[in-house]
Amino acid sequence: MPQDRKFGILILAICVPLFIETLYFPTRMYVPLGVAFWPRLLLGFLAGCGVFLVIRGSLDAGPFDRLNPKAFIAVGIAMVYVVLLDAIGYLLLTPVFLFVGSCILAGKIDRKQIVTATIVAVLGTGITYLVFHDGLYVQLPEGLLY
Amino acid sequence: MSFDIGVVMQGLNLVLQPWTLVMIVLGVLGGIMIGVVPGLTATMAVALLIPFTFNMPAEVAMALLVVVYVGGISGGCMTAILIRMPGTPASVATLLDGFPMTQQGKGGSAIGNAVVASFFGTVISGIFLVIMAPFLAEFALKFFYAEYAAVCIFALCAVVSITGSTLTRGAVTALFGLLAATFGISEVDGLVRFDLGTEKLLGGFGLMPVLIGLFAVSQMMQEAAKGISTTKADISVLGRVLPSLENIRANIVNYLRSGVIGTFIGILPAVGGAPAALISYSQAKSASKTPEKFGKGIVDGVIAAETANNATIGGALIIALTLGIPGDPVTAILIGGLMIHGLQPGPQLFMNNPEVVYGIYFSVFFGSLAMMMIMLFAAKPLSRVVEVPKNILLPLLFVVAATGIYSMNSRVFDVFTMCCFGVLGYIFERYRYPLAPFILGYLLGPLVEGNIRQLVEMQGHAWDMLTRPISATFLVFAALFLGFSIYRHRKRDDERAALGEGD
Repeated sequence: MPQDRKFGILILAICVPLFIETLYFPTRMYVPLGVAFWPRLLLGFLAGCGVFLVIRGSLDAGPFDRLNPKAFIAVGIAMVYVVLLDAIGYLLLTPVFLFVGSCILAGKIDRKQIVTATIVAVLGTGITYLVFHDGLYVQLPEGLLY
Repeated sequence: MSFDIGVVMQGLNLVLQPWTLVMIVLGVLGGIMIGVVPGLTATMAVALLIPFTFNMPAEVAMALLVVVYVGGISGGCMTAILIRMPGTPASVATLLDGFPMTQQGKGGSAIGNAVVASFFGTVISGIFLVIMAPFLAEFALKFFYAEYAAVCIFALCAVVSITGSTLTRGAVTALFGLLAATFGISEVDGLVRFDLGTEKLLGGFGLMPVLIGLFAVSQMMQEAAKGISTTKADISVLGRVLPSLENIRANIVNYLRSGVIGTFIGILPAVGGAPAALISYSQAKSASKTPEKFGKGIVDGVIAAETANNATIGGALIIALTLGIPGDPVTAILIGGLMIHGLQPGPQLFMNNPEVVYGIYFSVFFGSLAMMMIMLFAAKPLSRVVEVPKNILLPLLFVVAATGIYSMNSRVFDVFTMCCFGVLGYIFERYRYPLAPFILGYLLGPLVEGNIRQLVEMQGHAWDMLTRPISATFLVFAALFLGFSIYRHRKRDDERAALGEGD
């Protein structure tokens, strides 16, 4: 199936539930264009584009770049860091994330890589903490240290 | 509001005091350093500094705040060019060609041209500010709901028509951007939409998480997917930073056009630097003899974007000083700064304290000069960032971006949003759907909706958009842009089909 047709089906799959959601928007009396007007208009246009893509199939020639699983693994690791941030805390979790992220992205792990990753993990965390917490008075998650 | 040379000299004298000049340099440096860090905006920099100005004379305080604004807007271009991470929303268009230039080993040229463009943009808008403030303010007073909605629709159609390989792809991403902006509490009536059952979405997705996610996190994903090695990135020679005079002369039309666009967009309240940069970029592309090079690393794109986004500074100050209406969040804070010092923006400011007004004007000029000197001097040391091995750089950048985003509202949810939009941006780009229309849709959606709904509420219909001359003109231009784009793509497809048949 052409990629653009797949995208068209995906667009329609997104538009339908969102349109149903607009039916439950709160309403106000004596308002000519309610709060649902604009989202429905956009969803209508978007659905129209989706139908066009499904019918047309492919907008132009040429192969598409495939989605690489490594990209999703990388962002997945980042999301795990984000999810655990509140619970574990910035000072404890960030050096672990920097160390693990650096080693995984490096591919091969040797002693030099481990030492570099450790130094960067500690320094990187320390500097960003100092700048944001002490310089800009941002309260970073304390987590287990609280 | 007459032009009095004595008052002008008085304003110049205030700015040329040694202490004021020191404040200007430090303010610009501080603004640049804040602007470089993704998630930290010029707005934050100016807001943080207001308490420090309480005990300063009004002209020094305003000079400091204005130049921090200049530095913050300009600083965002550095990381946008070097590592595809817009330091501020206004630098989002700069990365479209700036980052490809870095990949080609011309990062120095991109930065140098961006800095000079920032200087020209600020100076051009400063000249408009000085001479045209009263006239421009009067023109903007004619903008009502229909005009605001029409100019936003025009901007969206222009960008959709120019970016992306097909009109449909641009339209799809623009519509997604418009739709993303509807999440959360509606600005018009305060009712909740698409909160998906969580209070975390009451404020919507947030501009910076969306921006950083779409452009920076998606890029990190692409880099991670390529397979990272521990060897340093191959950017051993950035090349010449300072643009040659010949280069500057060759781009004079681009500077002037983009400066004018940025100034006029800056006058319109709440539109800001990012749409100005994107519109200017699309205009430069359509005026170019080599539009196919845009998005692949052409300096004209960088110049157009940076000139326009800095030109909005002067435009925003025009309406802020003459009418007291903030052109963007930063000028809202600047107005607050004026009031703290007992100065009321508007015609009274021009009548009772004209030296302060001209002091602000000259601060803009001297601030932009200081910005250019500092950024050109620091370009090469800062460019070393890209020589750091990518397996070290990417996690560090993510932590800096995440911390910057977290610092805005102290919410981990914002960082999570950034990651989600990173995934979305990655998917869009792999399938050749352009990101620029998404951002413009996200920025302008609330404006279009708000103005249309208020127009209909007031008039009972929206026909004013077609009957009022200014809005009708913008809508006609929008239709022309779309029509021309359809014609251009059809012609290209026919030519390709003819070549295929000829084979």
